[in-house]
Amino acid sequence: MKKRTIRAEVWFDGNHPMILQREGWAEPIQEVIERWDVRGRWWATDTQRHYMTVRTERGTFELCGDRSTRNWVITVVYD
Amino acid sequence: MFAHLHTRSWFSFQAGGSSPEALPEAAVKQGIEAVALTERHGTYGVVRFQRACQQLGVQHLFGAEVPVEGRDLVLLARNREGYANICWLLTQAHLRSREAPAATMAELASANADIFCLTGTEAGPIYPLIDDFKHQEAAQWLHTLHDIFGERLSLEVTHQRRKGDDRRLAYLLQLARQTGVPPVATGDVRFAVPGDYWRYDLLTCARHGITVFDDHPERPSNSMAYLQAEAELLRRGLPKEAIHRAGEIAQMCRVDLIPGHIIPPGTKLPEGTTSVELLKRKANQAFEEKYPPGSANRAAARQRLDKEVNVIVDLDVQEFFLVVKEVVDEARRRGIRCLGRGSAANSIVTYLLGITVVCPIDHNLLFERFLHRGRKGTPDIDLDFDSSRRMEIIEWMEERFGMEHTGMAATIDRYLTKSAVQDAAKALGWPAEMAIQMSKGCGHALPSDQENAAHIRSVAGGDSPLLDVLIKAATNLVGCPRHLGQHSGGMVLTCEPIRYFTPLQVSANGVRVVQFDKDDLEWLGLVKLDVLGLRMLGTVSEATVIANDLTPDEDPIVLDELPLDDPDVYDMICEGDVLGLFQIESPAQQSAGSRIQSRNMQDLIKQISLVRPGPIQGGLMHPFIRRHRGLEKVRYDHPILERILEDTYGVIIFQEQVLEVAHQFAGWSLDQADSFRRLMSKFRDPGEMESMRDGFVQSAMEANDVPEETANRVFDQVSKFVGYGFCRSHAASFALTVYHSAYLKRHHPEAFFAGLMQHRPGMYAQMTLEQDARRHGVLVLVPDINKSGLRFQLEEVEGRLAIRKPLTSVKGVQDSLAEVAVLERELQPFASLEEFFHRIPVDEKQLRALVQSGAFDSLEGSNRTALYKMKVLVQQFEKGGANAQGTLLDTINMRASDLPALPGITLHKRLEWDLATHSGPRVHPMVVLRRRLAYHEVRPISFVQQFGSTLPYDEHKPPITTVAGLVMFRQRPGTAKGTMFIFLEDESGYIQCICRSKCRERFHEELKQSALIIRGRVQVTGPWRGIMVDQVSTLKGVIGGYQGHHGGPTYGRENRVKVFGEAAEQSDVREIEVGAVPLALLPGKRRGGG
Repeated sequence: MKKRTIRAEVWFDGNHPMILQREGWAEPIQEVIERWDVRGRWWATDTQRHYMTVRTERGTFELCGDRSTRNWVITVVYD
Repeated sequence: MFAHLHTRSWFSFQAGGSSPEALPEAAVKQGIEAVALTERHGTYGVVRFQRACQQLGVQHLFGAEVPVEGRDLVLLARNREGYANICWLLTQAHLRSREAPAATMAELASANADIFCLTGTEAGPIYPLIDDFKHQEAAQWLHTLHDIFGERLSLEVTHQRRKGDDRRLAYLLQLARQTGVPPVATGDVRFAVPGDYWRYDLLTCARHGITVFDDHPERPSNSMAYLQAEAELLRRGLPKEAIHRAGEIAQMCRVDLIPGHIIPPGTKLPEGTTSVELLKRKANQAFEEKYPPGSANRAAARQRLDKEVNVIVDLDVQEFFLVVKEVVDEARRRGIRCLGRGSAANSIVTYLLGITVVCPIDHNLLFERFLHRGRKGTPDIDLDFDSSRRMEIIEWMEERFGMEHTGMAATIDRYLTKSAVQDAAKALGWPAEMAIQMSKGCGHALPSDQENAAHIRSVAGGDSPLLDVLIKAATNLVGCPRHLGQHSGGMVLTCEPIRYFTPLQVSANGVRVVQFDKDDLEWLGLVKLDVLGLRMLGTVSEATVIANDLTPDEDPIVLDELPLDDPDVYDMICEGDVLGLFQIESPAQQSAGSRIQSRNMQDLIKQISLVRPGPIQGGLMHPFIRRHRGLEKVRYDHPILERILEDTYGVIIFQEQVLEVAHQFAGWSLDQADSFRRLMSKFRDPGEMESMRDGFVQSAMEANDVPEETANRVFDQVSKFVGYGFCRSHAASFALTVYHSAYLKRHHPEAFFAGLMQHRPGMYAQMTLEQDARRHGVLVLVPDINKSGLRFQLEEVEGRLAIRKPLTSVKGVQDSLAEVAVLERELQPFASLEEFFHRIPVDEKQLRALVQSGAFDSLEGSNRTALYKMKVLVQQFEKGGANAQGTLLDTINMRASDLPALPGITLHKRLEWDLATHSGPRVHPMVVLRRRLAYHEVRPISFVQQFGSTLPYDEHKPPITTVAGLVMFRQRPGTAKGTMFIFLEDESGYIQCICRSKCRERFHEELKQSALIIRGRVQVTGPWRGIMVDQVSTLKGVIGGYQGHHGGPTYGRENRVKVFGEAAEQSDVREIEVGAVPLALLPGKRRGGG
């Protein structure tokens, strides 16, 4: 497991993430292993972050992002 | 139908983020039809919750998170039996351990009937095992619980979109299939709406003493623990059958805790007699004794009795009165002085039953202030007992009614501004000292109030954006429950076992407390009897016993049979000789009393009631006094008011008068008038009453054709009474004890002061009481090892009675040592310190305290000798070890030749030891300085008493004088607009010094000290004397004195005093050595002879 900070984009079909794109190329998401929410620093700038663990052909990744935009970050790459 | 079966409110005490009312409100918005309140380790919020649910049409269910062997199960009551079992389990858990309550599995098994069990979430037994992959153990737990609950067990499943919830849910559902225990879906709700998430997080940080920057497993990682809609739970992956099961369980549960009527405890009824018959019989029997044929009030009393009994029976509260009578009778049987007071004294029934001691006819008391048909809830009867024996009564009540039927009422301690600011600031990361500073400077208004917010910002300094968050957060915390407290004396008595209503838990001082406050208890229909302690009752009881023992051949004093018109007693009160007397000894009362000049009980009742925030803030005291003295004409704005206010000269003094004005003048019903009166007592100034003006005025105009201008004027007058005031009946009850205390002081001062020093009911230090005793010719003797007992007792000395201080009055001496010493002495008096040391097991610390108190002076001649001997004995004992006994026998009875030449003790050291050991120096410390102070024309306080009698006094040109003394206490009442009152004492007396706010600011530092020189203008009003302060200086090197909340210890080595002459400026001040060194010169004020 390696911690990372890699910008990515996720395309959704309704509520279901379909495509993961990063570093110039995209691939389909084969499985959504887990999803969870974390609410941020309510005493500062309140944020709501959504996390997903997804599996693609190239590996398993933990993603963190804001559901209202397509901007996501890969935070963990699982070996 | 879905039901939320696991929710908390903020009555889980910092473990829930919303009010119990907010939960059904959220349920309605989310389309949820049923909600269960399951507080953490209690049922605290259920009454408010049920009321809110009923108003909104949401089905309410009750349960709790019950701790069982370290894990929390969620238990739900199917019916009242189930609720009782849950309460019982919670009680067992709390009684077992206050810090970590826990019931046992055996207890759970024995009390599982009519309970549905959910396995809980993170704090439950299953989740942690699933998270640790211990599935077998989890299954085992389920089997164990299934053996107890059978079909009533459900595996709780929830999902709050946290990391790991998906995985955990999958394993839980697998476990459910594997074990056959059906899953039930819950929201594990901690707050009603997402917007309350921050409050829950802040309270969690406060509870754990961490900041928002710290991680903690109990902190919520998101805002998903709100009361979710069914659809949301489905979206999160909770299966339909689990959601459906929640609805099934809800449909099987029905508990109603609010009966709509009082459920009094059972009284003992003779066979074949109803409670109504018994009440009437007892009341009528007493009626014939107290109002015999031919007595003046008989007809009025009869009419009154019939009316009251009808109301009592209509309200079905007659059993409550009989229960209270049982308690009072038992106290009297045991010789425990007791007094019913408060609004109960308005009733002739309570008077005839012996609960209260004031005839309502004599004192024109209003029954409706106590009880009327529109009033809900238990009648409010407060009983005061001799505080030293109050526990005896409580224990008897527990025995009489059963431990299963009694418990003390709780209070809900809520966040106020100061505590909210402090906790919020700490949670948001400010250092503790700064958080305390922020909170200390805040007033009663909300943190967001301009002044409070400015103070918070000024302490923090800078302009952090977090300050806005702090102020907002603290504001929203105000009113939130913080923890459960114990009511001062409210005892709950139940007919059925108390577990049918509430669990019990243990307070910090070991008392069994219910989980509801008085308001919730009223909704539950439960009876609360206030069993309070009053030290003055102990004082007068003890003084009476002592006085009667002194004169066994004479008729004993029976306080309740004393005529209440002794002129000597009233003379003493009018002269201001009131120190030690109940209710009227304070400086404010002394000052008011000297002007009122009470000559009978009615005057005394008014005097007691006048010096209260209500009349003082309203500026009603001075008009009353002027009219009472005939210095001002009495006017009434309307004839109705004359009927109500005639005996108080048109001035509102009593709560009953407010009630009568609202009822008779404004035409409101008694219920409305009572609500008006109650509301007034909560406001702080007349401005807050404005919202009630229109209603009052309009009603008066309609009901009695009162002109609008008149009605407004009367409202102005009524609104001045805002704040707390006495009710007449309460004052009348208290006035009786005032009179008793005054009677004893006047006619039996030795007995009185002995009782006073034993019980210490008042506000004055031991030293002050001893000085007052001496002024009344009563000597106070230091403890003596061969003469002192365990209480203050009288002793004959040179043909007069003196008070001997007990061994228990010596600080540091344990009661057990004193008891052993007294017992041993009865067998044979002690002949020497050595013999005492040999016969009584005593450690050095206690022995030193006894020696320094002077207890061995009569044996050893001086403290120095005794101390020397003590050191030798202790050293030899320590060296001797196991063989010490033999060594002691060898050293017993040291001879004079064994002792070295020891220096004498200075008076200063003697007084220091007296104060340190038994708080009463044998001479007043000011005596030590008197000669030197006199040199600088600093007068004794008794000198000031001469103005207006032997010395001339002109109030337009008051004389200026300088006095010095120890500060006994300082007062800065909220009603005094910044003025400080300092009570100064020297060897000749005491005096009140009035320091206006400008003077107080100027001498702010000096006023913190414990001994002062005060210069100012003498004030004379009748027998009262005071000083209006102009200048203050400190007087150091004087031992003793009250430190108050300003000063620190001043047992100093410094021995300098600053004095100034009559026209002195600060530059003329010289420092004077008080001691062996000759005094320096002052310009113009030195006497001849140096």
